[in-house]
Amino acid sequence: MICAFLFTCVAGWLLICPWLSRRPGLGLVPAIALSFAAGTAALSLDLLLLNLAHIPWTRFSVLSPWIAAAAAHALFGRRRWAPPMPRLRRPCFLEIAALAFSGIVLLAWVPYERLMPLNEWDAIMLWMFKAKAFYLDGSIAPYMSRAHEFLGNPAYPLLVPLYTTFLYIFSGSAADQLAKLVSPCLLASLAAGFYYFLRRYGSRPVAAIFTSMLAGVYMVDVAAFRYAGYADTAVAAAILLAAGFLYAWFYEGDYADFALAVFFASIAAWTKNEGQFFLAGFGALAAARLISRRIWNSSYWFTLAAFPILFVTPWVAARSVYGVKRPGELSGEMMRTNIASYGPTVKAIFEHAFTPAPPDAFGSRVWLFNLAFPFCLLAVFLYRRAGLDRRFWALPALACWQLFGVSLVYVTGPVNLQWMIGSSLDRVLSQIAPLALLAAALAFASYYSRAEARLEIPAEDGASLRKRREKARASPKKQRGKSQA
Amino acid sequence: MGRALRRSQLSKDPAGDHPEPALRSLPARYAHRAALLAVFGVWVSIAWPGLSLQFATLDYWRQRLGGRTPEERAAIVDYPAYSVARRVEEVVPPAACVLFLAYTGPEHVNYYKTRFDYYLYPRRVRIAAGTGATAENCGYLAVFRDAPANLAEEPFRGVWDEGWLHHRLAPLEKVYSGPNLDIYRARR
Repeated sequence: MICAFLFTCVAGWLLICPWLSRRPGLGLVPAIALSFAAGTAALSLDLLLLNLAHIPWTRFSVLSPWIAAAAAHALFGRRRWAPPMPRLRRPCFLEIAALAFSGIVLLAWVPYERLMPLNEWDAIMLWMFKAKAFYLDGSIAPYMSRAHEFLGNPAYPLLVPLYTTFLYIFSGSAADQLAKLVSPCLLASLAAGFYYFLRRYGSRPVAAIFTSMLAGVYMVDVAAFRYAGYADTAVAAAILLAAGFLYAWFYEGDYADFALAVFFASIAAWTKNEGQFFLAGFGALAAARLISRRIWNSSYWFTLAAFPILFVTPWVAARSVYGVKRPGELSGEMMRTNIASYGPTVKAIFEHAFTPAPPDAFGSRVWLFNLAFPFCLLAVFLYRRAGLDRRFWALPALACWQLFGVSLVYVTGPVNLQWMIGSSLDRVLSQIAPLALLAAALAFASYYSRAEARLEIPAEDGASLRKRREKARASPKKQRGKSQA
Repeated sequence: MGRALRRSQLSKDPAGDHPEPALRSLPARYAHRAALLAVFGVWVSIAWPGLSLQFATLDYWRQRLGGRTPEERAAIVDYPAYSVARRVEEVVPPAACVLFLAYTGPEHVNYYKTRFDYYLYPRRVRIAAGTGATAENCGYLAVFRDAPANLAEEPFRGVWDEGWLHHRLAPLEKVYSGPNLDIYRARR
């Protein structure tokens, strides 16, 4: 299984190294983590394409395209495939504090995840069930033909189930306890990507502190460790990486950032329905930027079309081939009821995002998202003072778009609104919280870097400061005296 | 981000040609570091109740599951679905269909349906809360009685006729009998 995770990193790196290897400030750990996120998508898509081509899934058939790609990179890649080497430095006090807090968070969650068997509802009903069925059948067809027998939603995209199937193929059994590791590993990708963007646009202490703050967001941890086997952490990682690289492209205009942004946004669409909504908003934003900057370079437009087609079309084709439909029909009456409750739905979303959860049995109130959303709101008001311009808006705009998408999903869903909000809203918001925190963190990083730059100016002692103040007080009088004369 | 300072933040010389940076007091110079520490401190203090709740949860489950095998842990956490599914798995072949007559609450029917689908795949699983349910081409019949704790939480609300059940099971061959599960199949 460890080999399977390592191979995932290699496959992902092979796919994105032409763009990723030249990114400024990229360290070894973020490179591995981003490669892992890319590798999960690449291998799951690999399995789907093999299935559509009626090629049986074996270790050889699944791995051979990547072995061939590795050979091609080694022969013709001019060492662009080599990952960046780490540069170890002594951490400062703030970095040590961040590491200590992250360590406490991991001590609380990692043993719990390893201790608990696969048990949560959606993992058993949906994500891991599909993975097990695909592995036992050696194809997605038998499950799809029997989808009406099961309670799960067969229309959901298949990144998580098919990647888990890959792990089962690699390990030779449906080892669900090991497959649960996918969510924590994707959380590592999320955190490493978060750190990378902050490091790229800020200093090491800010990057370390805010990454540890992300690690301490209760609901993000719940999604990754308690709901291990769900797709929410995968969506959160893809959304954050896409938005981060889009921000980088907005500021620096480098094609490689643009390509990576489109790539990860397409992965989001291949992970869950919320990701498809994100891809729509992301595509509109990227296209608007291309048009407003009058960028008619065909490589940009081709990339913007090619990656979504690559990740979405095979699944659309598979759904058509296997006749997959969404379970449940939205009745007219339920639609009317849900639309009438749009206002309360939006209120519920904001309450969950901005206020602590109701007290539990012991009377303690847990902030599920800590201050991620309030900080994002604060950043929207203060970004100019932090030295950023309106390009910063890309991140809060994408977060708002996702919040809007959540409200739409709830209103148009075929089930009771209150039940749906109660059972899934916190998980869905956990996909957006890292993006909201990234916006706040980048604004803070900008403010911090400017302040650090000013530290190069020598400090003045108390006496000279008093003298300068007195001089400043005196000079207006002189000015006034001159004007009266 | 390492940006250059704005012109407005720099004091200018009278000619305006050589801007000089404004001198600031020592606390003002380090305000950003204090702000970072303050943000981090507030964040940790807000995160702490959630973390302490998680440590308590971990402690509870460690006491219950610590030192046990993965199968034993699954049997405890998913009681009685996991143990029942394992018994059915031993008796019912993978290509067969099994109909569960479940003495359980209506919401629990959905719960057990998802569990048995997961544990027993590729077997076809049908489940109903009552003795009268039927399913076409189902070679196996399992009579499942839920745990008392679950029934106390959500009582059985279907139709359970023991007389009719005896009558129905009489022509079948019993292939397994356990504390909360009996499995039958058609006589060959």
